[in-house]
Amino acid sequence: MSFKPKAPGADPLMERSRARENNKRIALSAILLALMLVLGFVESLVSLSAVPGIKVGLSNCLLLLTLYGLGIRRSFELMVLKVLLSGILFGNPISIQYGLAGGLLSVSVMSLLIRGVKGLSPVGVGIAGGVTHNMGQVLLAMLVLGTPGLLSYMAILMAVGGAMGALTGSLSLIIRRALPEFDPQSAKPGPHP
Amino acid sequence: MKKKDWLVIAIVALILPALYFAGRGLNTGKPASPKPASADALNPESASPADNASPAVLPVSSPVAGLEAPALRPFVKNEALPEAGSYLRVKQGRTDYAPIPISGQTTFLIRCGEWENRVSLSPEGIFMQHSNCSNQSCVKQGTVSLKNREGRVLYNRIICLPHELMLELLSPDEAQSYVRGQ
Repeated sequence: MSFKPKAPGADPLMERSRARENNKRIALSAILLALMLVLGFVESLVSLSAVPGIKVGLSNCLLLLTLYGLGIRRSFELMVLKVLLSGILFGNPISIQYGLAGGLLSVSVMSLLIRGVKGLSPVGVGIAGGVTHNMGQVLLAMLVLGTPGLLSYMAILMAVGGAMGALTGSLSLIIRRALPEFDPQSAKPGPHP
Repeated sequence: MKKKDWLVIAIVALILPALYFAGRGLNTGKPASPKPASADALNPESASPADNASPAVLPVSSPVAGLEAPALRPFVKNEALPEAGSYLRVKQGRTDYAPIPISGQTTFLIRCGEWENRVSLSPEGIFMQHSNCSNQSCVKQGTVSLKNREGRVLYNRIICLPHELMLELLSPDEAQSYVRGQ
C-alpha cells in the first residue's frame, strides 16, 4: 500500500470536496454542451422567417447560465465547442466561421457586462448578447463580401437579436431560480462530509 | 428587469436606427468601388473554390427572347453598357464582374468548383432558382425587382454566403455609376 505525501496542513475533507465540485462542474458543462447542440439542431429545422439569420438562439439561454454559474472561461470553451461540433455534426462547415464570429463577440460582451456592470440582470445581458452575436456575423459577411451596404441588414438582425436575447435572458432567469447550481449566491457553504 | 437593463435597451435603440439609415444611404447611393476580376481569374478550369476561383457560366435553359446566356466577364471601368431596364451585378468573394443587362427571360448557372447557383433573370426581377449550398437561404430570399427592393431587408441583393456569391439588381443609373467606379 503506497501513501502519497500530503502538503502540510492539507485537509482531506476540503480536497475531496473540491474534487467533487470539479467533477460536478465538468458533468454540468457536458450536459449544457449537449443541450446546446440539440437546441441548435432543432432551431435549424424551424425557419422563423425568410430573412436569413433570424433565429431564436436558445443556446444563448444556456450560455447565460454557464456565464453565471460556471464562469467566463468555461463559457468560452463551451461556445467554441458548440460551434465546432454543430458545424461538423450537422454538415454545415461554413457556419463555423460565422458562428465563431458571432459567438466570440457575444460572449466577450456578456462577460464584460457581468464582470463590469453591477445591477444588470440576465435579461439585459441577454439583450446585449443577442445584439452582438448577430452584429458579429454580419460584420464578417461584410468583410467577406466587401459590402458596407449590409449595415441596414445588420441593424434589422441586431434588433431581432436583442428581442430574442430578452427572451432567452428571461428564460435563464427562470431556470436559475429553479436550479441553484447556476446561481452562485445560493451556493451551499462549507464542504460536504 | 432592472434599471440598467433599460439602459442597455436605450443604447441599442439609439444605435440601430443610425446603422439602418447609414446602410440605406450606402445602398441607394453609389455602389462600393468595384474590384475588377483579374485576367487569370476567368479560367473555367480553375478547380478549388477555396482559391476564390472565378465562376464559369453554363446556361441551363434556352432563353425565351433568343438572347445568348449572359457571360461573366471582367469588369472594365467606364465601359459602355448596352441599354436595358435593369442590370445584374455579380460579385463572387471580392471579385466584381461587369453588369449584365436584363432584357429578356433567361436562366443560367454560375459554377465555381463544386459550388453551383442557378439564377433566373427577367425584366420583372431576379431570383435564385437553385443552389447546392448548405443552408439554401439564397433560394428563400425570393425575387428582387426594382419595385420591391425598397421593402426588402437585403434591399437589392440576393446573397449566397456559403458560396460567397452576391447578386445585385441595379437600375440603369446605378449601373452607370458602378461602371464609372463612383
